[in-house]
Amino acid sequence: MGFMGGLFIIILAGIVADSLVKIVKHRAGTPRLRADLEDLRHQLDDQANRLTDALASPSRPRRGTFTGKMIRSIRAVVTLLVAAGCHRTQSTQSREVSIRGYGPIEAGMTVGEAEKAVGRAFDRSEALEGGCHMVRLAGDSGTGPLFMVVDGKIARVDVTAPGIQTSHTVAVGDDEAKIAKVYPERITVSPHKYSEGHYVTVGPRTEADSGFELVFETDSQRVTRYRAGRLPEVEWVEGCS
Amino acid sequence: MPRYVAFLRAINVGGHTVTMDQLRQAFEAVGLKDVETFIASGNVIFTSPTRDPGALERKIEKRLEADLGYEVKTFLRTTAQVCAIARYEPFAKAHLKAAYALNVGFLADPLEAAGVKLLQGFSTDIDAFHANGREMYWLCRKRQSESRFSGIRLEKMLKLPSTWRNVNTIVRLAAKYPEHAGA
Repeated sequence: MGFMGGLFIIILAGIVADSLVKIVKHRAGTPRLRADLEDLRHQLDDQANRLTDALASPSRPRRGTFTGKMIRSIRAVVTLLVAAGCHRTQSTQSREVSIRGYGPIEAGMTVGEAEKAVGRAFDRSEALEGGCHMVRLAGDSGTGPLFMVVDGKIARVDVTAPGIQTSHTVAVGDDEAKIAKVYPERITVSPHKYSEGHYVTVGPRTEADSGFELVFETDSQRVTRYRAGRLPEVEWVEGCS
Repeated sequence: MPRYVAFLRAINVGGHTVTMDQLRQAFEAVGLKDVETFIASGNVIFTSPTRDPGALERKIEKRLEADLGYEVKTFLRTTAQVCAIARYEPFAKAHLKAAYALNVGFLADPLEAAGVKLLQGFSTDIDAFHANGREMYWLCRKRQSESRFSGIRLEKMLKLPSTWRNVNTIVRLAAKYPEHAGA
């Protein structure tokens, strides 16, 4: 293969390792993967082109062909990794609601931690430090998720309009029956305090999630709004009370 | 001049979402002064020289319905009355300590004997109730998701609307506005 080919293979191996590290980090919640992976793919294309050109000289046709195939194989693997990573990134960008919160924002985070996690600021037209506040991310419309901030920490997220799903695909407007279907054996149904509907409460699936709940408000037929976050705030029926 | 707290019913419930700014603007539009909101659950504090709180309630309700597009029942208490509610002990301290939550229900008029009986009829192993004047008290011994108590069913039986707040909210309101307690 020669010194040059070996060097390029080492570089490529480093790039692949780097991509794997980034994907592992992303799985753990590190943001900005999509941009990182796109940079990586461009680097790889560049390296592959340069190596193919270098090894395509008439004096070393067989080695060049062999190494070029290796590079293309490595690139194919990286492309698959990129695709997997981007798919994950897109689903994160769609920001599903879990029992702990909304996308990367989890109940218990400080406002600063939440802003860092999501890469956006909250609307600061009201001070968020003390007491209890309901606030949206800056620039979000009236249909965006509403965060309850209690003494400077995220307590829960409320979803009041269609378009934002839970990780189990339930959204405002869905049938109440769907909740029982997608969260079997984890629900409690109780009467709504202000309407003929229900609170359908989804408990934690794991010990690690104890202290968190998903609460769907329904008109007895369809979901009218829902919230996720920590106890006791997630069960408060009238905003902050 | 008396300070009042308006407790608004179901302001951020179901498909409704109202910002505290919207509420402040609505109250100012009615001509009320020194308007503030207290936490995001439909508690609005203001100053008014009114001698007829009932008429003021209806005026606020009319404005809110015009602004928001749906009925918002409103219950006024002076800050002195809020302080009295915060001090009131409807249940023995031992019961309170063991409970998960204590909520206060606001009514426009005091419950009569028949209404008190209806309220007590909702009592279970989980829920206990008490009435005092224009307030109802609901002691929930477990998480509210485990309670079978339905506020709407109670309202229908009493034929009276009401709104509920956690007692912690009342205690914090009383602590924030003690200087007006003599009003």
